[in-house]
Amino acid sequence: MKNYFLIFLFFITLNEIHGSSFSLDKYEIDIESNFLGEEIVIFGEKSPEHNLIIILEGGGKTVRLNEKIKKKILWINKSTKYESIPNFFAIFSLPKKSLNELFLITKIKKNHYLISDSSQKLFKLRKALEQKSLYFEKPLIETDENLFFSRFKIPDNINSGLINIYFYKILDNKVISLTKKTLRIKKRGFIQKIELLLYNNSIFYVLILVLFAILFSLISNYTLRKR
Amino acid sequence: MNIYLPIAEISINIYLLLTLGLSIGFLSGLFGIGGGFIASPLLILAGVPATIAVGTTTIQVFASSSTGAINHLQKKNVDFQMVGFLILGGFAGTVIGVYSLKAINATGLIENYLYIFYATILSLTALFILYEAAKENVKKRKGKFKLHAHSWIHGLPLKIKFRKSKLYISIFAPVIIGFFIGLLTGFTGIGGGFILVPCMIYILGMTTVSVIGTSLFNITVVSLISVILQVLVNKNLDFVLAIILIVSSSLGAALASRLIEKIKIDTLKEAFGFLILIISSLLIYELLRTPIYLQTIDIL
Repeated sequence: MKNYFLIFLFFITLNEIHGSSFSLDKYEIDIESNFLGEEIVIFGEKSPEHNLIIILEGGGKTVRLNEKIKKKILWINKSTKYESIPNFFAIFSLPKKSLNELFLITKIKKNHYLISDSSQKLFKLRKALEQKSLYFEKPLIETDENLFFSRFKIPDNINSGLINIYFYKILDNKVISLTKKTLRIKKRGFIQKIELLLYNNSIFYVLILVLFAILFSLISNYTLRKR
Repeated sequence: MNIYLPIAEISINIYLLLTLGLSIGFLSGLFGIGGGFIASPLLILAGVPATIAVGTTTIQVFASSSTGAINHLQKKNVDFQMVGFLILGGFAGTVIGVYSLKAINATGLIENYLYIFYATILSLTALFILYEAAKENVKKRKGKFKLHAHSWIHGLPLKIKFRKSKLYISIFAPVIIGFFIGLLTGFTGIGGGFILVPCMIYILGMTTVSVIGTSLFNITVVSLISVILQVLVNKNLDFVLAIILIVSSSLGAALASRLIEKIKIDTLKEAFGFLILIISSLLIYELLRTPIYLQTIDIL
């Protein structure tokens, strides 16, 4: 039933997607006070002779990789900073491809640093991102008439910003076409105002909290406490 | 039901936070403590990032101590001379504490430091409470005990008269104590009342009713300084988490004030000691157990 819904969804958005052969059910995610992550459906059409690889890559950020090492009886962190590491990374493929298979496709290796080699450093970064649900590999599910889809979740710990979506058509381990789209993640409403207040008007941020703390404590003290 | 914390950038179960706030408020109402030394490690154990837990606990400490401070101000139970020197040292300590938090956070070792620190301080506090509870009966039977011994702190220069507290001691004594309490507040979010009050009684030799009022006034001002610095320097105070903690802990404290007469405090003191011991054991366990994930990542 869900598949039929997706196919229907695909056809009604076919006009929008024109030359490219994939789409998302939404291209904008709003982070608001009830944000618990967001499920997204990726779907499209596939020609029988090609393999597909779709990569979602978030903006490059400075990250700190903490490795737990045992010193005598305590587990402590050994931290290393890395620049320009994507804050979100997802790989979809049809048929399912392992990372080792992706390493054989030069253009993909070149375009995406996080999966450019099988080094320990990148392995650890992928594992650490995976632990926060910010990295995953999933197969695309093929339905009738060369259509495909997959569902995935943008986790609640995602940073706001752009996620680039790369749609690769592969033939004999070579990229024969690449289509790019973007998914925008934005803080909105109260959440956005709070963040802006903290960073742009810190003193006012403190003042509101301090006044609230004093007033609420006094009110609860005078109204609820036993005299 | 989960709620999104905008600065921590995570969603967390609201009932867990409310229960935590109510419990902290309840304990602070029963024992006259700020509750920061329980709130901060429990928030970290609940999954709140360590620096956010420290920053946000500070405003909860401010909220819980400010009401008490206002009450004692109205009753004129504050030694302003003493509190002035405590705050002087407290200001310097807070500045160093807040910047130390920033520096250690940058190394990625903040959780290790805080776990070790909280585990040590909670274990010592628990043992102290249990020891005091056991000693109470002996003291009562003997009738009198020496309030404080003269130590090196009484040999410090620049002695002045503290009229309200009826003391003639060096100004450096409250400045040094204030400094360490400020350091504690800035670095860990703890108000430090459970250390400050014994220091004022056993080290400074304060005997008057102004001990609690002076301590609460100092904690209120130092935690306010810390709140401002945490926001300006570390940006680690989560608005939503702060509101939840302030509301729930105030309600918990109010509830405790209604139940306090029905509860045997002596028995509760022992239970409280054991509770703190359990929390510190959990922190020690976190340091000793093999981690589930050998790699974690912080997006800066």
